[in-house]
This record gives sequence, C-alpha cells and structure tokens, in this order.
Amino acid sequence: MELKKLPLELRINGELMQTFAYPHLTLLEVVREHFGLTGSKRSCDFGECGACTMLVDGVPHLSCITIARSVRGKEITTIEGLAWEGTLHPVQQAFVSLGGIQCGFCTPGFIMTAKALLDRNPEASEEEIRHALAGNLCRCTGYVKILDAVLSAAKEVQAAGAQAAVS
Amino acid sequence: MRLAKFEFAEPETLEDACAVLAARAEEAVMLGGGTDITINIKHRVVQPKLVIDVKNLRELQYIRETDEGVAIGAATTLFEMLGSPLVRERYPLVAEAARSVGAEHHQMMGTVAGNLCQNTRCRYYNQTHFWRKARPLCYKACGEQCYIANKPQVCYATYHGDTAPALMCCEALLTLRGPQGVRSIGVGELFARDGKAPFTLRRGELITEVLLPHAAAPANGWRGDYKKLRQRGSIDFPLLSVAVAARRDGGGKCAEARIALSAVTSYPLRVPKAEEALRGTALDDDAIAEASRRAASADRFIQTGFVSTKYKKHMIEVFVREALEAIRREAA
Ligand SMILES: Cc1cc2nc3c(=O)[nH]c(=O)nc-3n(C[C@H](O)[C@H](O)[C@H](O)COP(=O)(O)OP(=O)(O)OC[C@H]3O[C@@H](n4cnc5c(N)ncnc54)[C@H](O)[C@@H]3O)c2cc1C
Ligand code: SF4
Repeated sequence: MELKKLPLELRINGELMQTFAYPHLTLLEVVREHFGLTGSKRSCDFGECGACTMLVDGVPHLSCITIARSVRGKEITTIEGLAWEGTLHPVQQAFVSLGGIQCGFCTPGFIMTAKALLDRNPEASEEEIRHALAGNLCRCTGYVKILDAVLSAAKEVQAAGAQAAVS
Repeated sequence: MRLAKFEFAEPETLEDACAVLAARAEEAVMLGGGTDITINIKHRVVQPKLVIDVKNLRELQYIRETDEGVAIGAATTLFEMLGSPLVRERYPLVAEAARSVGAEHHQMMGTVAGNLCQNTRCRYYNQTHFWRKARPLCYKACGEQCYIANKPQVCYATYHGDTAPALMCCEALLTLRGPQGVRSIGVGELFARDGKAPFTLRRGELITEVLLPHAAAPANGWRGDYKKLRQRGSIDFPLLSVAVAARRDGGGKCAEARIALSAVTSYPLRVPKAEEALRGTALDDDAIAEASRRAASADRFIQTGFVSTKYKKHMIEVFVREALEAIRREAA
C-alpha cells in the first residue's frame, strides 16, 4: 500500500485553504505547518492540556488529536480568526487587561474555549465557566486571573448583546 | 508526536462505511471523536492501515423518542447527549456519567459508541513507544508477557469507560450492524471480559444505536446516582466509577436495584449479590451497609494503574453507600 499526499481543502477563519497532505496529519499539524497559522499551540500533543483548542463549527476541538481530514467541509476557527480589523475580541482584550496571561502558551486554547462558551451561553455562570475551562491547563497564573478575565468578557459580551438588541 | 501513517476512508453513508469495514476489518479501525483511538495510534499500540470516519455519518447522529425508549445514534457526541432534554430529564444518571467524562472538550468530541468501545488501559500499555521500548512489548501490545500478572499470554488491562456503568443500570440496548446483518444486544454483552480484546463485536461489525428503554426512566419509579473517583476533578479518567439505580414499589420498598462498577477490571460489571441485598428492603441503613460491603467484595480486582485495589474496594463501599443514601433521600 502506497500512502500518498492527497488534496485537502479546509475552511479556516472564513477562508478556503488548500494543500496536499498525508491523511494521517492532525488538524494542528496542517494548520501550523501547511498554513503557517502558528497561534494554536502544540503542547502535550495527547489531548490532555487544551493548548491546541480550535473551534470546529463553533465547538472546541483538541486539534492535536483531530485528524485533519475528519473536519473537511466544516468551519474552523483559530485564535488568528478572532480579532476584527485590528480590534481584539472581548475575550482576548479581557485576558490582556486583567493579566490572564503569563507565559502565554496556554492562552490561545483558553481564549478559544471561552469564546465558544460565551457564544453559546453569554450568561454563563462562574460554575459553568470553570466547568468549560477544565480541559485547559495553565501552569503559571493559578487560574484566578483567567477566570476573572472570562467573567469580565462575559459582561462585555452581554452588554454588547443588549446594545445590539436595542439598536 | 506524529500519528503513524494510515489511509483514511470517508464514507458518505452507513452502507458504504459497513462495506469498507467488512472488506478490511482486520486492518481497519473506526474513528468517532478520536479522543481515544488517535492517542493509541500516536503511542503505536494500535497501528491500523485504514481509519474509517464514522463520526461524520449523518445517519448515526440523532436522539429521538421511539416506542421502546430514547434512541441515540452511535455518532452522537456525549455533549449532545447530556444536553438533550430527553436524556437529561429521563435518564439523569446517563447524563451525569457523560458529564464526568474527561473535560468538556472530550465530551464535545467524543461519541457515545466511541466512549463504550474505548480501549482498556494499563500503566504498561498507555505509554509512548519510547517508554515501552525499555523492555519487550507486553502481551496486549503484541508481545508475550503480561507485566501486571508476570505471566505469559494474559491481560488484565482495565476498562475505564464512564457511560457503560450508567447504561448498564438502565439496561440499555445496542444495535449492531455487520456483514451478517443487524442485531440487538444488552450493553453488558458488549464486553468480552478480556483485557486484550475487550469487545464482543464480530468481524466487520459496528454499533449504530444505543437505546435507553422507557422502563428505566424516573417516571417508572427509578432513581439513580453516579459517583466517580479521579485524580483531578477537571479531566481525568476514573480511578473508580460507580452507578447505582433503584426502583421503589408503591409501599416504598425497594423493588429492584442495579449497581454497576467501572475502572475495576477489564469490563464494567454489575454486582448482583449487592443488588439482591436491597430487594424488598426500605433502603434502611443496614440494607445499604450490607449492599455496600457486598459490592466491594466483587472479585477479579487487579491493580493496573497507580491506585491499590484495597483503596478502590474501600471507595466502592463508600460510593455505593453514599449513592443509595442519596437515592433514599430523593425518593422520600
Ligand atoms: C485526557 C483524557 C481524559 C479522558 N477521560 C475520560 C473519562 O474520564 N472517562 C471516559 O470514559 N473516557 C475518557 N477519555 C477517553 C475518551 O475521551 C472518551 O472515552 C470518548 O468518549 C471516546 O469517544 P470517541 O468518539 O472520541 O472515541 P474514538 O477514539 O473515536 O474511538 C474509540 C474506539 O471506539 C471505536 N468506535 C468508534 N465508533 C464506533 C462504532 N460506531 N462502533 C464500534 N466501534 C466504534 C473506535 O474504532 C475505537 O476503537 C479521556 C480521554 C482523554 C484524552
Ligand atoms: S495487563 Fe499485562 S498484558 Fe495487559 S496491558 Fe497491562 S502489562 Fe500488558
């Protein structure tokens, strides 16, 4: 059996991207090495730490254990897809403003997980935030400032939602 | 770490998936959410030539009510299942068990069938190739010797699935489809009681549906509780999982009880002796103490992880007692 590179088309941050890749490559490998989007981090590489989290159709996926071909045809969002015309996403901004970042390696994963949570539930309680972030590990911050950042981003997102409803 | 190389099949329909699987069953594995199998492929303990994507089969993604109960397609994610009002309200025990799997990421990626069919685990097996290279491969990894038993050709690798014990307490049914047709089995019959080859699925067979029978719903008097012991509450596999369900009759006596354990041996198991100790009782303290003791004396315990069997047995007793007390409180 000869294993060949095959054409692979993925929709990443709203853009259709094409490459030739072996079928055994993970989503993380394709996104980082073929498409040069290195924001998502390769950390444990065994689905335990959450640093590689990307959204697939809005749902957090551990991209280091996701086979790239298995998400063909879906909408993939990476950390690079969050800022809009130079303005950070409220979750990103809250992490910066409230010091939810120290070394920064786990940060893209945390932000993607938190964004997905607030997209599906802007009213998420502290308990729900803790539960959603349980799969993201951080060895620096002690988590308190991360939690503060997500709570503050949630307020921001709620306020934006209320404003949009009024206007 | 890179995955070992494989071909990837992207069947469009269940029929196509079954055909590829039937043709190449010996060298193929199925891909659900991949949260178990990809790690084993990275570790080189499973080396398939072909990976068949079954997660994207629309025919296997549903939760619906039928005459028999609530039917869940095999590729439904745990997160979809535990969020569904049909499951959450009627089978809270199953929802609770699914909510305790890994972290939310794993629940969002992992499928119901993948969770049931996750491989058994052992401290000599779930390691990188580099780590395992220090000595000859163990029996499960295609060597000769089992390092847990220090014997050739046996394997005690432990089953760690969380939903299985809860599904066993509901006496859930599985629909299997293979080259010889479609058949239905009780969830307990899926397990072969063998660490090396843990499942009874026949060549080329896959799970297509999990059915939660109406009979096991709270409307029929059932109450349940799920307890899980793990190192970190945030993401870890169970060191021990205990599912308990009990049904009371009109007079408040326990008409039937079911107790199932996971992470104790190569398969999830019911403990009938403990269940019998509850039948006909008012779930009083003595009956609960006796059932808890009996559950903890189930046989075939062997240590394959880092926690002693003595500690596990102690915790089975504690969990069964706590679960039954919770059920008694809820029923009252
Ligand atoms: C950090 C971490 C923590 C975890 N913690 C837990 C935990 O606490 N509890 C727990 O239960 N699990 C845990 N897991 C394991 C895993 O995430 C879950 O069991 C998950 O539900 C597996 O589902 P999946 O769809 O991802 O399986 P996959 O990896 O896709 O598949 C697992 C197996 O099932 C087979 N399979 C898939 N679909 C079918 C089908 N339709 N019919 C027959 N066979 C099929 C596959 O071929 C494979 O052999 C953990 C994993 C990680 C990485
Ligand atoms: S129980 Fe023995 S054969 Fe099985 S995985 Fe562990 S060491 Fe290997």
